[in-house]
Amino acid sequence: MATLVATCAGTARSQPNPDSTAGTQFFDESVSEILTKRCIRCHNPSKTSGGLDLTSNAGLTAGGNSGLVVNRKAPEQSVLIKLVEHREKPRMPLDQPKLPDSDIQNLKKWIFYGSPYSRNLSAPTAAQELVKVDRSFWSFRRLSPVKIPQAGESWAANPIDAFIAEQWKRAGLRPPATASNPELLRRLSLDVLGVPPSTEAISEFLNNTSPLAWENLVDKALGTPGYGERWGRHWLDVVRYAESYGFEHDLDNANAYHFRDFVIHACNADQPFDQFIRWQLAGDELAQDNHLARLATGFLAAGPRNADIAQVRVEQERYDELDDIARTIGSGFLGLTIGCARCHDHKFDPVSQREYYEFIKVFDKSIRGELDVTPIHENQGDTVKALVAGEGIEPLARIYNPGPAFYEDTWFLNRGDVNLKEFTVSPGVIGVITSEDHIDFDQWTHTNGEESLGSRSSLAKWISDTDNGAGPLLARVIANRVWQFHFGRGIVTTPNDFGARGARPSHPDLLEWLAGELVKHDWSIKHLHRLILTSRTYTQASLSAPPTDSQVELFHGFPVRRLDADAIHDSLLSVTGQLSEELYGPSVVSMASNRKAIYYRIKRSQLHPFLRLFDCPDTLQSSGKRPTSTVPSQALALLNSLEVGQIMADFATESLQTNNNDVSKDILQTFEQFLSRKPSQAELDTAKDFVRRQLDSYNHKPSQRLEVSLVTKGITFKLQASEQDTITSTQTDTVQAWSGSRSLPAFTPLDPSKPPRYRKGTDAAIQFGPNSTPLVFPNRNFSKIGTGDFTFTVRFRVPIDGGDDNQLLGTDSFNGQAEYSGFYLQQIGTMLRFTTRNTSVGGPQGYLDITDRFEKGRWFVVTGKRSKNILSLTIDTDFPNTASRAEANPINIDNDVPFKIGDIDQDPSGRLNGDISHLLFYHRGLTDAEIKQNHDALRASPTHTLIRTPLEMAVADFCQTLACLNEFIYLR
Amino acid sequence: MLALQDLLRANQPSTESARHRHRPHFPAKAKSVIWLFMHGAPSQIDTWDYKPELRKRDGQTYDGFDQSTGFFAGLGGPIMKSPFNFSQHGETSTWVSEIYPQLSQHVDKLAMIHSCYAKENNHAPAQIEMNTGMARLGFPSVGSWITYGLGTANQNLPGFIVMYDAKGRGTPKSRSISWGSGFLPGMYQGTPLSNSGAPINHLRPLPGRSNLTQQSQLDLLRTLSSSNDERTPKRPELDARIKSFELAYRMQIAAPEAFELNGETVDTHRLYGTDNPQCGPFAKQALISRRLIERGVRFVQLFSGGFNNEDSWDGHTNLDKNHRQFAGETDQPIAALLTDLEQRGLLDSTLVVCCGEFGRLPLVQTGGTGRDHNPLAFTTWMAGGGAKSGARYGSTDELGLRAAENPVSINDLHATILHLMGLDHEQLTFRHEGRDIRLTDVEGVVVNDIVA
Repeated sequence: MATLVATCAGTARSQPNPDSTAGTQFFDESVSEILTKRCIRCHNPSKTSGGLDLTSNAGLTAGGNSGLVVNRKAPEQSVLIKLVEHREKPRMPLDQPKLPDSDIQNLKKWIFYGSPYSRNLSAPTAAQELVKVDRSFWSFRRLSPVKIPQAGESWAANPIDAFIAEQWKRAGLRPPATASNPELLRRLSLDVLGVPPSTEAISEFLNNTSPLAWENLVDKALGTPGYGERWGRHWLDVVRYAESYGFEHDLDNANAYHFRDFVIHACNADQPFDQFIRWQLAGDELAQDNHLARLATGFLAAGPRNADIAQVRVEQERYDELDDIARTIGSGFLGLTIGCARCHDHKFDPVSQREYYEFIKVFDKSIRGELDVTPIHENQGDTVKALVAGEGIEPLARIYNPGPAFYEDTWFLNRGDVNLKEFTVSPGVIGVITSEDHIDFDQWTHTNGEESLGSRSSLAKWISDTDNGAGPLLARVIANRVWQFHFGRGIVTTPNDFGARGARPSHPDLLEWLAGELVKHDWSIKHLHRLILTSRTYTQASLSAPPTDSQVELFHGFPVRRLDADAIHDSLLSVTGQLSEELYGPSVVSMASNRKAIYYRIKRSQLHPFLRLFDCPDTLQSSGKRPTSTVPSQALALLNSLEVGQIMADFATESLQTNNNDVSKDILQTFEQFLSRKPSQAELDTAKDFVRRQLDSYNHKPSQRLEVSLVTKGITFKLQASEQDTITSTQTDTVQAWSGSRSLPAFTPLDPSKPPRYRKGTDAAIQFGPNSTPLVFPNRNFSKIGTGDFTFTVRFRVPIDGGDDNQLLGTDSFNGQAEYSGFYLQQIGTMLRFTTRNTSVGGPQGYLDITDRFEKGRWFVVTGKRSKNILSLTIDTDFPNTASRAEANPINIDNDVPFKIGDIDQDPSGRLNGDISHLLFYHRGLTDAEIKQNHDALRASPTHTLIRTPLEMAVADFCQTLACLNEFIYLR
Repeated sequence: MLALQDLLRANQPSTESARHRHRPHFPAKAKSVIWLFMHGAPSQIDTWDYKPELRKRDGQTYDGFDQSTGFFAGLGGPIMKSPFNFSQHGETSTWVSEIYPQLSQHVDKLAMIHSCYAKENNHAPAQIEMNTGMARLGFPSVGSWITYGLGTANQNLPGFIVMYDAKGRGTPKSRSISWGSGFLPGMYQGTPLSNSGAPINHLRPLPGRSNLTQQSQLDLLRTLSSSNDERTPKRPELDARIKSFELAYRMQIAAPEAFELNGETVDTHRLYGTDNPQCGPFAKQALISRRLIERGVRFVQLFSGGFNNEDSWDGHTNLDKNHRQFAGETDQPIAALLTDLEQRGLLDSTLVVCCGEFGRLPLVQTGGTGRDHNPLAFTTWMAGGGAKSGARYGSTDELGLRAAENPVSINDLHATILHLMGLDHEQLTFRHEGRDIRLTDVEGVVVNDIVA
């Protein structure tokens, strides 16, 4: 062939007749398929890219926008050939692999023949383009029954073991030993509930001699509400769940958490998985009277959303939102990277760009918004606002340029560019996972009696239909996720990609069998869990030597794996008896809440630092598997974070109390609680030595308790929540006066009948709110500032439920009138604001804000300073920060209102709900070094919650070290 | 205090998914990057891209201007000349705005690309585009890619460190996405710091605790780990975990030294202007950057300007005041950084990159004396690290509205930066959802003209 073309390009010869049968026969045999499959999708009468139509001889010879494309006399010089040979741009076929040389030679020969057509070609529908081989790809096939192999008979507990043993036999591997009972119990509990077993559960199980003890234990674990939180958390990873918009403003979706609660509820109730999926796509249409089904649509609303977009971006943004949905359904539900077809046909899987647009068309009128819905938990009242999605609801707000929330038409966008609209599309399904005779979307139209439901219902029906729709793939993908959940590795190791580029199953028959079991048992996920957990594959011991690649792949030996972020967090709280078992509810932001990690607010720009450190997903895309990194910053968090320190200190104090300061007893008990086993004698001795040594250090260096002292030079007053400084009513713990010095008048409650409270003990503080009045300083002369320098340092905390606007201290005279002056410190959300102002000179001034630093539920030391008309604000957190701003004019703070603690001005709104333990005030500007000294002193203050008795500190160190052990952090 | 060099360790943190070899594809001069990000988008025509035509046509209407170019559609007013004087500097006779009195002394070192353009016209998406190559969420930042590609040369410090606005005016608008690792393992994400106090999370022992009490905790950890030896499966990952605690302990001792500026000479402090109230905070960050690079940190990114418009280079209403302020905060420190790196022989191995997320319009924004966003043109300069000193590449049209000659996309810019680091942007890939994804997606051409 090559010779022929070389010859015909080089010499003039008589040419065959274009109408010759040889030419048309050649067309039929060797050319029509190339054109049909590679060219005419873009070059047909309705879509003539480059002005070229390749479906007929007339179209071909007419050429394109840039002229003729075939040159019969010199096929080699034809534009068409130059483009497909990539000698000239645009390289054809566009964005696709180059044609094989043989195809190019055939095209040349055909041009030489005069490019005859035996018939006009018709542009294929996307689904028609599929060839049989695509539908027979292992993951796209219909489900088929699998023969359970005859293997591992003497060992197998259920068919899973037979599938596994069969491959072991082939690889020459023998079944390993079974794990010990204490190991099994710990494994099951960490795996299914994310926390170690209680010591009671251990002894109960070890004393249970019933042959069904393990099966009963498995059932019990799966029946525990903690199961829904654990497996539900995995699902939330898959559906990129978060509670904020993402992007610049990252607004909170405070009512998004109902979707999280729906997931937990559905998992615990073992809602059939097909219905679980259908509800997330179209619960509002399919079960109109069911509030749970409505909450399920929170799935569609959970993706990122840009709140601040330019006018020209509004439509592109809408396509981005639809892309997020298509992508998440693709990767998350179907293991199919549908999103790859946004700009061009999928390069590896048979998903066309048109199918992509037909798919997103299904969702193009669904928008997200908040609706009043019956909550899952009856304690939350009759109705709550919940973030959901659907048609015809009030769209969720944007800050700027809202534009339309949706567009009537969905366009096929060339290269995904909203400026390159080609044609509008109708809803469609993905052909390759649909039976050939069901690719027409209308066949999926869903009716509810007479009424025809929306296109989302149709898609939901399609996605879970095992006969003709995507059901088989849906079942395989979720069966693999369940397997991965228990073994840390999937049968397919790319859980979000079951396509051509994804991994092939290590045990195809096992996966097929599990998928079949799932469908057969009414899509019960718990049925799959039970099968796996009661298999001997699950109960085998971990290998002591590092496994070979083959052993890893064949699940020979139980895989050792690090706990994920949530399990580490929950375990720390659980073994120390501090974990709240409360289900559901609004999200929390601090470890001090003692809630499970799943209940932390997930703000896309501020992921929980501890969880992020241990590889929780970024929530921007579906996450099928969390990576497990090992980095020193994890060790630093376990050793030095206040959160972990607090947990251990509280636990040590309480357990020493319970054990009457008997250290041996305490060590024994702690050891078993943390590691689910008793220590050996050697371990016990080591532990006792350790506690003794720490105790010595803490006893001999009491100065460590206050390493640095406060700056006293030029101090006006220093207040500390202590017996000495606080005068309380004798009957109650309410504050009558707070004073740091006898020579100064005291701060007293503005309304003596509504005083703040004094809390004694290690965490001593003045507690303000909810209905207390501020403490005020009657003598203005002592706190007069004028235009002079001043500095205050305050140590305070706003509790989790303390609200988002808390006024801490100040001398501002604002009382609703137009003229006011003063200075103040205020908390607004995650921001702190320090300001001086005087409306009689130059009007209100700019504020000095530190953003994104403040967090509720923990202590902060904050210093505000005015020095030479420069304001600065220092906040001492894990990321210490100083902000500064010049006053536009020297501000004279000239009012006569009192200095207030727990309020900033003369207006009663926004008063503090929170605790203040220290307040220092100076009539001068402290240096940076002095500010640091005060901050260090207050951080190490004797009232710091982590400073305990030497024994408590020594035991806390011991507990903390146990939590750093691999035995604690790894599941095996 | 232990010398950091003593603590260098060759072992890489282990993760299941990262099996990249941490070495360049071809030899390159640059070993590390300092990226100076002018947050809010400086105006190219008021800084580095001199356009005398603006003065001639000041106040005239720009016929045919597409009002949807900027952020505020319809607010594009008449042509506005630069409020600043320009003069020529160096052997290259480069025109520089008067707001850079010190940096203008370094123009011969700089390789400038005048023809950069972005796709996005609003801050957050454009910053995400500039930092990850994509305006969508979920993709790794340049620093993450480079750390992934080359690893870090100092195990006691994070490989990728970020310092955002030195004056406490908040994060960039794109927030942590600008230094996120996207689908790359979390260990490659940037570590954000501030210029004061403890630089890294959890670096200080808990209140009441000391290095001594922690040392005995580590002893206990080691003893209990080996006492249970016969029960514990042997896995490299488990050994790495125990090592990570020891590493953490060393980091705790070693890292603060990297951030301590007291050891720097008075001359160095003076050079950077650390005591100057206006530029001091950024100067300290610039000086810390040099110290980090010296200690083997791979990628340092500094942001000038904070979250709110008026707290950044976003001169919508009064460009004169805005740009004078922010140039005043950065001019001396950046000039000092270049001098300092050169004097210490570090400039050859350190690539310094300076840009914003896009440029600004040659028109006045109606209602003030500022300029609206302009994604069609902006200037990026690079220095050191194999960038060609004095190179000038590409140009804008006569008003500086649009990249005219040799336009350079953000993909091109990224391809060039990777190239200077010895990384082939087509080879540096990570398998995600079945695709081998690149920083430059499917595009990007190395700007060879600025490569020395």
